[in-house]
Amino acid sequence: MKFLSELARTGWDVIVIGGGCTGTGILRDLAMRGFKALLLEQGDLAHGSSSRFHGLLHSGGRYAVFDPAAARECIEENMILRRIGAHCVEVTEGLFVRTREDDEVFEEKWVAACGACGIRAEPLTRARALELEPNLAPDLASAYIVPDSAVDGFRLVWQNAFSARRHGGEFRTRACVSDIGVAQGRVTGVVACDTDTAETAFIPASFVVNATGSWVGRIAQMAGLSVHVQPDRGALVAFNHRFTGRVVNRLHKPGDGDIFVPHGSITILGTSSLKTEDPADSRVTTEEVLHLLDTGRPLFPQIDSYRILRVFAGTRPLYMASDGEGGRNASRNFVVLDHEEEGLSGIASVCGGKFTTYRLMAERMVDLVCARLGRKAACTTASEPLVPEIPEELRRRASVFFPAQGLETAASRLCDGLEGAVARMELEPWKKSLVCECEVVTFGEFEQMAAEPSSRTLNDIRRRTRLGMGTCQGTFCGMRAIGRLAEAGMPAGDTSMLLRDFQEERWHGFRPVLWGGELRELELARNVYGATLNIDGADFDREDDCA
Amino acid sequence: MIVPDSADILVVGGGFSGLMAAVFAAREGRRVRVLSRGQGALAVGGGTIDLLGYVPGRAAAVRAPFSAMEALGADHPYRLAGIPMVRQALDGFLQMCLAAGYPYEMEGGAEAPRNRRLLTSIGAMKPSCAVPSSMSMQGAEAAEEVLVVGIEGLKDFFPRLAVPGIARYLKGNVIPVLLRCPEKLAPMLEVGGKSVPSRDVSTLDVANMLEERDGRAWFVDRLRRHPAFARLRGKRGMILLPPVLGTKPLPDVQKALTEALGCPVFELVAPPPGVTGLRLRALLMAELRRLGVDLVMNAFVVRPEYTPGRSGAMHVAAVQVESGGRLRRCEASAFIMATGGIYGDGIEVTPSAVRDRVFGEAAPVSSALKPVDAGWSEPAAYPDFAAGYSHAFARLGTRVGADFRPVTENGLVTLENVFYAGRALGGHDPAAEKSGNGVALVSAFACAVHACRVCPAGSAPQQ
Amino acid sequence: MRPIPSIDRCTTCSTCVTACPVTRVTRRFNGPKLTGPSSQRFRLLNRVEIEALDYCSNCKNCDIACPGAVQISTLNMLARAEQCRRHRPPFRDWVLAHGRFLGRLVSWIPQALLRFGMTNPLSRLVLDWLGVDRRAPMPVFAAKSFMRLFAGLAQRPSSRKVVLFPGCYINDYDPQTGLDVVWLLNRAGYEVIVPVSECCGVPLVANGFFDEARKNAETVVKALEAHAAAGIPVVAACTSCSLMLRQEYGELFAGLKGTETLAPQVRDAGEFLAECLERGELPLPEHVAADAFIYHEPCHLRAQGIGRPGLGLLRRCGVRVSEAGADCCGISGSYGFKKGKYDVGAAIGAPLFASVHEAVSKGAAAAVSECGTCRLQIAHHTGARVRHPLSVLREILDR
Repeated sequence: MKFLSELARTGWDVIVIGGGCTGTGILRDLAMRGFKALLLEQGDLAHGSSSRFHGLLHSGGRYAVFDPAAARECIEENMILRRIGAHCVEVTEGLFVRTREDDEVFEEKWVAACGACGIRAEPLTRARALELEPNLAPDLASAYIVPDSAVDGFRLVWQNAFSARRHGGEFRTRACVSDIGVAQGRVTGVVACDTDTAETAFIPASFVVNATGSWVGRIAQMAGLSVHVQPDRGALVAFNHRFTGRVVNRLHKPGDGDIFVPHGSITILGTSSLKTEDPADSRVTTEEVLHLLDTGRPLFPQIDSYRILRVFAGTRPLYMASDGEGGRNASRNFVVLDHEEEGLSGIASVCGGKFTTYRLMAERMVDLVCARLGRKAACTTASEPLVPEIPEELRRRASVFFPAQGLETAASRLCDGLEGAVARMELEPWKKSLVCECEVVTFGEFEQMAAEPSSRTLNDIRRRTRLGMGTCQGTFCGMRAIGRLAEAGMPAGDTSMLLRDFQEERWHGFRPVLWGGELRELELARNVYGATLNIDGADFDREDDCA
Repeated sequence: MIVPDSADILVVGGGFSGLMAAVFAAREGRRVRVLSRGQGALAVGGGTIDLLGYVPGRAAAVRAPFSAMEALGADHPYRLAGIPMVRQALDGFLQMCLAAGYPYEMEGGAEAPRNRRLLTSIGAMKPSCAVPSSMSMQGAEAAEEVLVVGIEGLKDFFPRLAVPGIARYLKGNVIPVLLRCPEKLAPMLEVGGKSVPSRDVSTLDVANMLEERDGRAWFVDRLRRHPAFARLRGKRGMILLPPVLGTKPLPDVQKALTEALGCPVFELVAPPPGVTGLRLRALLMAELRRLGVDLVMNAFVVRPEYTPGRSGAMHVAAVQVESGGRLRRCEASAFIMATGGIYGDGIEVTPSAVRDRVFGEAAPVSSALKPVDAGWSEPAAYPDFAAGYSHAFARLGTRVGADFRPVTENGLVTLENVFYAGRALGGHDPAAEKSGNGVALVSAFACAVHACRVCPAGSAPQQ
Repeated sequence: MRPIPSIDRCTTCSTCVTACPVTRVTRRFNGPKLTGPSSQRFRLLNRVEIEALDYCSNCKNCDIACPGAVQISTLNMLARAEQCRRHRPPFRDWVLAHGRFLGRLVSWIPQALLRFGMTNPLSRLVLDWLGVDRRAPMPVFAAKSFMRLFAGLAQRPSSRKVVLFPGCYINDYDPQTGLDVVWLLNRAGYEVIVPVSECCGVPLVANGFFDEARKNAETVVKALEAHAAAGIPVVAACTSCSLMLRQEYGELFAGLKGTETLAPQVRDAGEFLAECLERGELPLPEHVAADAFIYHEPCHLRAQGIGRPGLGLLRRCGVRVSEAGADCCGISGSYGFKKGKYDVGAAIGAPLFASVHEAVSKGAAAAVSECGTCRLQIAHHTGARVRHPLSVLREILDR
């Protein structure tokens, strides 16, 4: 990765702080409109909320009754993202299902509201609903089809970032902004610090965009501004297999645990809503999980027999205009705050909103930047696909190693890295072997992603490839991955630490759900790492002769 | 075994502890039947008898397991069995392997065993007690040049991952060697004029290859031509491989390679597929056939049938078994439950309950905690065992008395003719202690002994 | 989405891979874990299927070995059904799947021509064009089918009835085994009814003709349901048939009416006779002067979880029977006949054939096994005589 000092010398029009969907969306739009833009992210891309939600691209049905403006935005953006995001959006469609426990009166209101917002909600008979999704509760009261989609947050964010790069944009992970330079009522740039090396540099820019989601308030404070964003924690449960092919929403007043989203090979149930002070709050308790299961059970009665793979949580950034109502009832609309109105020019924050509307949020922000920097350029992010078509020749070369489904999946994951991965396999065919069997990740892909400058840890590679995110949760692929890194020359001390760290990180995700099938999996992992390989006794090479 | 639904001793579970219990009981002349769903963990584990590697609260690896056993809790299966039984179990196992032509080695013998250091594919050291000769590492201390050899494409073994750790434990030079892939294990195949990927290479594939003469010839030729091999000339050398020295429980492949290479060849411990475990299973299957034990696979025990027993305990007359689309009854005088605990579905864990799947409350599981309780697990995946930490779920299991029959907290026997062996037992954490196969072996022996006592000597086994 | 067996119990331990005979001999097949539960997670995404799916022989050794009871072979068969729905299987597979059809056609051909039928060079050429391996052990059609021979039998009426399900192998190629089983059942005091001579459907499933297999199953269940409901046992002398009827019908064809009534009544013939022995209905001699044999346990018998009753019956009479201890003979029903699979089958069965050779050289008179195609495969590769254990038992009792 480039040194911060080098970036400091480049000369940027705009610095975007925050590497989630909003930040990378803004970077892309800026780059496409000809700005020289740099994005700084404190962790890995999609570190915040963008990787910690249920992966739903809302049709808007959920907001139709209580927040029609948000609902309208959702349906429009949903359609746009389906077009431009073929490699990260899965057009699954969605169901709204009313269970016997839910209020009939609400259903009527809901149908009317969807109509008013332009959201197609087509009624189904019970028989038809069960035909489409056989695992649904057989005694469901009513069901409607809506145009929900599912999105892979990691992929969307990375695809935006790479699209930006193709247009001349730049991004730098592991760069934490610790201060914002202000001089004579104008922002001059940011102080960035590498979170691993502690290298620090002041990077000047004409404009700074604060797109840090739950951290917006903290960043704003560095410039002496006050923006009230309340982080709100939501926990999610990932199940081992895909038991629904479509998004399933509960047809009631929005509450906890009422959305099931298919996500690649798994299903995600979410979510909860708890105020928190820490934007990085990712705790999940067993109690929360059981509560989510309780609320999900009326939709899928067999839920207790479905193996839980792991749990995770993130914060959603709720913007409080001024002592406004929080939680679920706060507006999910977004705002672009031009701080020039508060006397500080050269900086703007984007707050609130949701993943589904990131592109629109980015458009509004970049419109503002255009106005402030005096450039006339129209937004074209809605028309250009995030990932260009795979050239026929590359497709042919890749299909030698990947079966048909593997090729699409690999292309989506790798973005611009597909060619490199294929080249590695052509040079050394053994690299077609799977490093991760659960999620079908080849060594070729693994190495390609490992070679990316932004990949500093095994977890960075995991996020790019899905290695370790499947059934065995890294038990087997962790060793293979670290082994390969060792073979490629990574220093020894690092490798044993890497392996242990990787296992410990995976541990956090299933520690709250240690029962049933997940506990069986853990027994296997502990017997391989503990009993067979003695990973935990590695330091204990002293022997006690007496005992 | 013709009368299909009765036996002297019925063993539930065909993993290592179940099969060993069957062997021990059959040797005492009982008619033994084993009902198993699945192969247990034999294809996963390493086939070594890890007796006791660490005790809670101590950082140092155990050298002399018998003395270390005194530091274990009173409810630990070793303490319940007692050292004389541990000794007999080890002895019986070693004799069996010797007679089968696949000897296991144990320093100090069954009288006063001492652990040896095994080296693993991640470079860690693991204390173990009885190991097949292909893993004994005899002479490693004195080796001057050690080659750690892998094969390109064998994705579960990377020499450079193992070497730094191994080098800490051996005095000689430790050199990684990676051989190019042989044609037989090539990554791409020609199928109908097209090049298609072949199946990935595992240690089992290499083991199968080395069973064949031409596979060994390839290996010897390749290794001899490797520049690193020249280092062995005139020096005390040693070659370390992943577990690939054949699939049969015989030392033949090791011998052949040692001769051809002119240098001792040994296997390291590696993750699944457990080739060394599979050899042990093959040995046990042959032994069961020899002893006339009836092993029924794909049979799932679902519930017991009781008759009242003596002094408050229940007596199990039969178990109901799900197999072939219906429930069958299997009667026996004694039952040995070697169900594998959580992994084998002997113990069911839901968020708010931990119970024995077959006997429920009648075979109490020693766990005060449930998944909803704090303390069910530790904050770290691999907590500091040296300081005495281990997960609550790792230590839970059926509570038994000195004769391995299930007991209440007050020590009252609940099932008078049922005995528990292996991972199903509470009071031990095999992953932290490195005691898995050891506990399985010892408890299997103890259960066989005690089960034979409640069961009249039956007719000699068939053939 | 059709209901499919749960994949949640798979812990990716790879035990199934170590137990799979096909994986052992060919690198074309990815192994049961990747082909079954791992791929299933992506099939639910409606992605394209694995090419080498047809390498799975449905021998069920993976299911038997799995410590988590994952129904891996069922997953593979259901995936195969989907694959074949999208891409029609070759005509060869149709022929091999529809043995009954061929059987019926052939039953019209006079005997003299029949012997000429399958093994002459012209037939072989046709079979080769179809995709059947030239070396495959094509069985010879019997002069008269089991059904015809059975129709000519006079049985002593009895209040104790039992249904015999002969299956295609016995009916078309090996009626004598069927007659031996009838004799034993009569000896135990039962009157044998044979209401149906349909195929149980296993070759239809294995070759991907799933919807047809289901219709076939409906026919079979309908024919047998009333008897089962009346408490009459349904006995099969072919282990693939008994497995299909008692287990696979329920696993493969969700909602098939009548399977819950039928399944508990189904018995392997040896299993049933062992129960007769226990009830005192079939007294056996303790020690007989007989030849020695070597026994091969069919995979589909092991999958039933009932042990080896046929072996037990022989040993009970004092017959010396050793066990080959092999996993699979390699033919797996219609699998081992196919071009591209014949060699796989031969490689899989190699250790078994070696054991049989050794036993025969030490004096064993024959090999014994309950599965018709196993008998065919063993005979083909070893030249040894191979019989159903119950045929040996009949011979002992019929002296």
